Amino acid sequence: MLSLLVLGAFPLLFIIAAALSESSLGRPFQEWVGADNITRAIADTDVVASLVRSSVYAAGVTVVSVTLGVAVAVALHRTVGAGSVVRTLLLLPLITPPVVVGIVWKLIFNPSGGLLDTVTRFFGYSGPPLSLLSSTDWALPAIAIADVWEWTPLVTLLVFAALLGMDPEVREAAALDGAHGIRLFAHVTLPAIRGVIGAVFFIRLVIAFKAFDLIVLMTSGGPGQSTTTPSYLIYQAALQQFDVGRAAAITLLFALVVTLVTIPVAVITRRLQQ
Amino acid sequence: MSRSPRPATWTALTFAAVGALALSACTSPASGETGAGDEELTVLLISSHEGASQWLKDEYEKKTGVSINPVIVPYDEIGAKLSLDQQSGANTIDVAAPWYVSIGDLAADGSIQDLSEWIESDDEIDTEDFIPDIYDPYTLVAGKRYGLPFDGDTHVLFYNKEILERNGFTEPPATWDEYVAQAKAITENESANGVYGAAVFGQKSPLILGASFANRLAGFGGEFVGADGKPSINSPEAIAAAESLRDISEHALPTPAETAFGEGNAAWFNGKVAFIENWTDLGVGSQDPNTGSLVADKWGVVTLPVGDASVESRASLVAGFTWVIAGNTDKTELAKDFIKWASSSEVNEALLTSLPPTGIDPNRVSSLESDSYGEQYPELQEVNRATLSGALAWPTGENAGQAAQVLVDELAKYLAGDGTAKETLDRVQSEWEELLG
Amino acid sequence: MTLARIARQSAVNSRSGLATATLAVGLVFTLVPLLYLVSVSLMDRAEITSGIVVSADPKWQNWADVLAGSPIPRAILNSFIAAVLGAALTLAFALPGAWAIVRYRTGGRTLAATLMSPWLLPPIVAVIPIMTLLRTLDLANTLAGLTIVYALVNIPVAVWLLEGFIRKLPIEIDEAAQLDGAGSWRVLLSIVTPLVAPALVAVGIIVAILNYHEFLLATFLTQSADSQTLTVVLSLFLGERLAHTGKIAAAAVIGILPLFALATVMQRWLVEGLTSGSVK
Repeated sequence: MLSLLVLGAFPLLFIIAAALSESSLGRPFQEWVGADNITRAIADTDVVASLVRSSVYAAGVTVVSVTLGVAVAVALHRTVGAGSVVRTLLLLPLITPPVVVGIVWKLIFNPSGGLLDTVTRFFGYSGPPLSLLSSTDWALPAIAIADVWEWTPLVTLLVFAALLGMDPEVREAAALDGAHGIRLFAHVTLPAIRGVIGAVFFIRLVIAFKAFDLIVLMTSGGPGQSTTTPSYLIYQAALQQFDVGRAAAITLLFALVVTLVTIPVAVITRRLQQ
Repeated sequence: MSRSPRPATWTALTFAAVGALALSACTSPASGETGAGDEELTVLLISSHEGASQWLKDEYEKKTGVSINPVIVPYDEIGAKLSLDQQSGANTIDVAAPWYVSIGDLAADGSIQDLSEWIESDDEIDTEDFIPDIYDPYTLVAGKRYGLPFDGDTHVLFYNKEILERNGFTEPPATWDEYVAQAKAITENESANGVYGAAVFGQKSPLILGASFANRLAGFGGEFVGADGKPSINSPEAIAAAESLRDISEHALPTPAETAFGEGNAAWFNGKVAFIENWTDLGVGSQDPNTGSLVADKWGVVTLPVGDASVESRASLVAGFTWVIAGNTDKTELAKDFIKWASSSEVNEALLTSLPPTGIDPNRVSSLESDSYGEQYPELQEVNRATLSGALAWPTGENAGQAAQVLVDELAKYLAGDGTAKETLDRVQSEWEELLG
Repeated sequence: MTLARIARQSAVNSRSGLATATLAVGLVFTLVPLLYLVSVSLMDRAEITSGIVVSADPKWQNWADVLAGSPIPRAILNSFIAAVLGAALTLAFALPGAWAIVRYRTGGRTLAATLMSPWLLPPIVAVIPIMTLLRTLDLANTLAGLTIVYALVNIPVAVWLLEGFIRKLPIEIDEAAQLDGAGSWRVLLSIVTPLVAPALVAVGIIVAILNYHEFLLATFLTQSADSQTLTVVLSLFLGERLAHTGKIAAAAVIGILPLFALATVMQRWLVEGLTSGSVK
């Protein structure tokens, strides 16, 4: 365990030290500057806006993913005839690398000849081309769609496994008592798998907070700042502007926000599991 | 942790050791980690220079027997790669060709060598022949020379002759206002068929959106940094440039915020846009059957428009690249020989016209004026002469990369409908005063 | 066992129309983007911007160019090596770790949660110390180096996932073995490991998928064509000035085909493994 802690701790200590010093990519720790980097980051409206944006994004994407994922898992569980081919097909987005996911959805949203544009025109739309990724209102939801597409199968998979692991007698007994459909789900199925749903919610939330590849590929954080997440800001600061001190300071602020948002989820999950 | 689980710890460590051994046994030795005396150079280049790297590798090996190991990275990562390689002590890179704007930061980080003495003392380099407006911005930071120019890289305006004719325009635009007016008319007439007035590179990256802004700033006669060394990014010229960029955005191929090289060039090759500002080598690509171009022999090219018809067009050095030598390489002499050769007149001349196209622009007067270039691409030679009479260059000192990013971030907000051009550039000015001092 | 259970359940559930409809919508949403990618991979430049869904004259040349004249095949191999070996190494670290946490109550759940915390952070700034670490091990810019980094960064997730399965094992099993004189690591290897084997496979698959997906670390830790992974090479394709979207799509399809070919097997193992001790 000790070796693991050392290996895990080294990058962490590096980040903390970098946040407290003037550090460039080539020359870290030039001079200790105390909380300077951190106070500057807090005063930077772009940083604060990105933290808020990321929290809203993560919460929204997670709620949608978990809802859809649970619905599909339950449907899979009930439609036994669907079998393993359907399960395999539903799993495909999960094994598609985010770089490819970004390419796919960028093609779909491409205003000149993309799938969305082509299909809407087929159904009689004739206005200017729809370009979600360059609209300050729609770019983030468009990325969210790709994100939901990619990660919902993980929710489906974990919840489906939990449903298979459920004690079948309980369900059978309830069904014999006349519980059906929604009521069966709400009173029997849901309580049995709520712990798993909690855990999945937590994992999904963290993955949504870390969204980075899709943003690099689809919008580079634009238009304006509308899809700039903390991960993207950190990337820009460290690897394009060489300002590692600022990057580390944003990383710490981000860690704080992620912790504040995820702790309640983790606590609730633990409760549900007991 | 008081009753530490020793057995598990040991198991973990054993697994780790076995695993690490197994892994190191089954991989080839690290590239570039060759001992001294081995005649090999590892050269870091961006993906757009992959074609050029093949040519350089073949020719240099033929000439000297030294093998070249090109390492290709995305254009926005080359500076970080070089810096991390040197900082971590990996030191695998010997030579690199980064964006010239980053050399100040690379020098400050100790990632590249000060080559002033060598360049001054070695007459074979023939520095007089470098295009003056390229030579200094690309290599000089605070009085020291850090490299030799590789890829001139200025933008010019390409136009699709057929589209202009269809819309009744006999001449390509001379001013940015005419350009907007023509593009607007074309978009109004033909956008229902998927044809637009212009493709505008507007994705939020210094090399992309930054280039589009710099092109206009040059045309309106502005500067990034004034003669006194102070930023002048909120000058009336700069504001006019930003406004002109916003004006065209509405009539451009949807949509500038999504348009990077791939999107813009694809639309151009397909004959879907009337104008595109691009590197001169787009002309070479437009004629090359391998690119799938549909516009061969249907295009023309002119120097970039200007703000006011009385002004002469200025080149805008948007994305030039400079040969530098890594700070910690132990092959400095070999590296010097390579970059001297690679930036020489005959190599530059050969790269200009070699097929498949290498994407290299003139860096020297002699190669720009060479017969071979003039014969094969007379129009490109003509427009590239703009670099001989004053060119606009980005600032290059320490923090220049960050400054470029700040400008692009703020411009992206402005183009997305946030505030006025003056407010935007006033903010950039105050940040630049802090960054560039 | 699952078969019998499924049979019993199907007797209870009549096929619900709502469930079938949900699945149908889910399948369409899942498959349309992938089919569109395949379709674009067979288009030339003009077709991509012309607003058609399927090319009338498929350009298999795009595929041929990627397969024959590009670094993609090599990159796929590299990605596989790093993903699979990295996942195996991760399990080698994580299983003893998770077992120690459960059996010796080391730090309880708090330790597991603490171990998990670095996973919450974006790894960007960590690139710098990781490069230095690799240099000290003389593994900079090698596939071996990338593999070890993958092995390390996923340990927290793997411990966290495995812990739930190990907790379900009856403690009597290894107590009995220890009475028989078996040392801790023998209990772990010969008793615990076989029992959690399905879960190990499932967690291994999840970690391998995460590795195959990884982009940021790979860009900075691998430089030569010998070591670059699929995601890195794809990003290089995207950065080309004369990029050909059809070929990029072809490269993307070819890059995911090997994984898709394995998907049926992976799906079964994942479901079995995760069911064997779901994260309750």
